[in-house]
Amino acid sequence: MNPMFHRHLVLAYAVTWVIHLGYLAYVALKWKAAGKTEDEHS
Amino acid sequence: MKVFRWLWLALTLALLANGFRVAMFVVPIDQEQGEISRILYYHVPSWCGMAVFFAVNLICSLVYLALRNKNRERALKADALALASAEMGVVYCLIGMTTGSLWGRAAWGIWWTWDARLTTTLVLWLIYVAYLLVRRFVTGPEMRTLAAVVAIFGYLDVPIVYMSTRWWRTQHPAPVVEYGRMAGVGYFRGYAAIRG
Repeated sequence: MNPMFHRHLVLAYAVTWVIHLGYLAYVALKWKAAGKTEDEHS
Repeated sequence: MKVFRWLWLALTLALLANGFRVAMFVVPIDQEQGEISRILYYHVPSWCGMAVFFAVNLICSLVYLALRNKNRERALKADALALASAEMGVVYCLIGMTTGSLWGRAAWGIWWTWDARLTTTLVLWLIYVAYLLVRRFVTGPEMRTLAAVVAIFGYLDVPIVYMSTRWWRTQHPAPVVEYGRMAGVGYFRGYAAIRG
């Protein structure tokens, strides 16, 4: 097994998951903020 | 609506986990590339996702411009969808570029090269980041109209990115399924023929 190939594979998967989950967290925060605004108006 | 949101989140995480399982443990290692071939299981679908979301963004921007003076409510819905799809497109484009760079370092020995495919892709990402910045920082009633126009002009780069490996000699691998100077255009012609 080539150690550089293994390192890059792990990095690629980690980066992909971090970006995916980071975006999900960003969307969740936006939903939360939108929910608060709705509650304040109602 | 809240239940739908949680279901959507659970479905997203389940699909991500299953994709990881299949890519890592089910598919065998490629004979020529070895382990780094598994990077392509995230790299290629990211581009497919990006293409879909930027196309949605284009359609919604056109709908917004067409309806903004006729049906305000529908126009605003289209505009909201345009914003969401642009965000998703930027996310997938970023994943595609990062995973591509990591694959390139292992396969070619370089992180980045200014060939036609990589350069046009970077330009595409910057265009849509600029689109999001326009939406974030431009104020006034014409912001949505301006953003829609930026989106329509920005989309012009998408077919250039797609065809770049066919039109120019690039470091990036050429297509393995549909190759040749005008390859890929046949899909659109075939689709038109099916539609009659």
